[in-house]
Amino acid sequence: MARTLGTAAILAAAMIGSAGVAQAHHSFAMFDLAHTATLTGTVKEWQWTNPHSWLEVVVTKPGGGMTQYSFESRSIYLLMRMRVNRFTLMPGQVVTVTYNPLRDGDNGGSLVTAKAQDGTVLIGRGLPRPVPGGGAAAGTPPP
Amino acid sequence: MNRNLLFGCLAAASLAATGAATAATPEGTTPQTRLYGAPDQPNISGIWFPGNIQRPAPNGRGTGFGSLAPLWGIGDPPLKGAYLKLYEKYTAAANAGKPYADTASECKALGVPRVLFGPDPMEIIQTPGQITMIQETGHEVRRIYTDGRAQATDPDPWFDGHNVGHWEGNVLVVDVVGLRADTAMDAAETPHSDALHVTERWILKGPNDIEVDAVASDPKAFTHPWTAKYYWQRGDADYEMLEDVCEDNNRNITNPDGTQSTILGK
Repeated sequence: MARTLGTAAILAAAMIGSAGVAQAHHSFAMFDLAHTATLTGTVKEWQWTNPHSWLEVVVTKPGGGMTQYSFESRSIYLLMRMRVNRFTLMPGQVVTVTYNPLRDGDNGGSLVTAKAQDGTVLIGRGLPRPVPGGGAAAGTPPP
Repeated sequence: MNRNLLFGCLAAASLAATGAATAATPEGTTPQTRLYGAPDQPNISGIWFPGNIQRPAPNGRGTGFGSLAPLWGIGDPPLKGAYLKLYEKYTAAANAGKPYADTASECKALGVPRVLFGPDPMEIIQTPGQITMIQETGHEVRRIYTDGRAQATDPDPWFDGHNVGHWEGNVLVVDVVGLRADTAMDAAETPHSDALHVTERWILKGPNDIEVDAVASDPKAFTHPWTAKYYWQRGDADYEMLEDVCEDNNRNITNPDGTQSTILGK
């Protein structure tokens, strides 16, 4: 039988709240949670791992040349509740990422959303609301 | 019987049970399911999802750790002396963007009593004489002995301590001592000492709902016992617990000064 996250998971998600970072592994204090930044680049690797998934993106610098950014996403459990999986982001794919930047100015941050170039939301901001039949779409916000 | 049919029957039974439970669920009433081999005990084996998680308090407690950092206990921590100073140091560092590491960021364990709010699902395996709680987070295992043994008198300190429990009707009463002093109470890195003593009442409000009333006493670190209330809800029987190996991709390293940094570009 395929894995089902089920009603209780959805209810638990609803109780945790729409922003849903039930973080236990580490403090978020290294991120500037009051601000978001946006950049567009090419996926180098989507690391579907615990305690966090990580998105590595290669970006063209304004003056030429390439640089790499690292974005921390959520745990596999939380991403699965958002209907995100290990194929959601693929190497070579161009993505636009919004993120809470690292407060020390390094290349990276806490991932907030990831969008494909056609506007499809690959990783959304919140957790799915309960949907009859359990058919919450993959990170897609309501129109 | 195929699995779908079995599941349907279980669902029907569960509905019936829920209906029955609605009529009488206060503390001390008889639940529908008893433990095989120990019919005097309610059976809480299964998958449970955490309910409420307390968030940063209006007074700003925990805010520097992230707006959704889960906190332990009701109200402010009743810290005193050196432990209050330690807490203030951790909070100031977090507010400055240089949080200290803890046993969770180091992928060691959350420890009791931080595991009381998950944050991920928990599997309970109840057998006569023992209740085993397996957190999805980091595969953390707690063994609560319900075979009547006495609490340890001089235990080695462990992340999840030494747990003995007994049933009082529909309430599982758990006593925990022998806890390591280096674990944090919560994501705000609230400290405690090795004298921490936790008592918990796991109140079966219905077949699918547990309320945990916990009290943390620490004569070295707290001015008075600190209470907390948590909720767990039974998940679908076919939920498969995820593998969660914390060291698989842990990029939070602990610096020599005790703060943590993030490894980039890995």
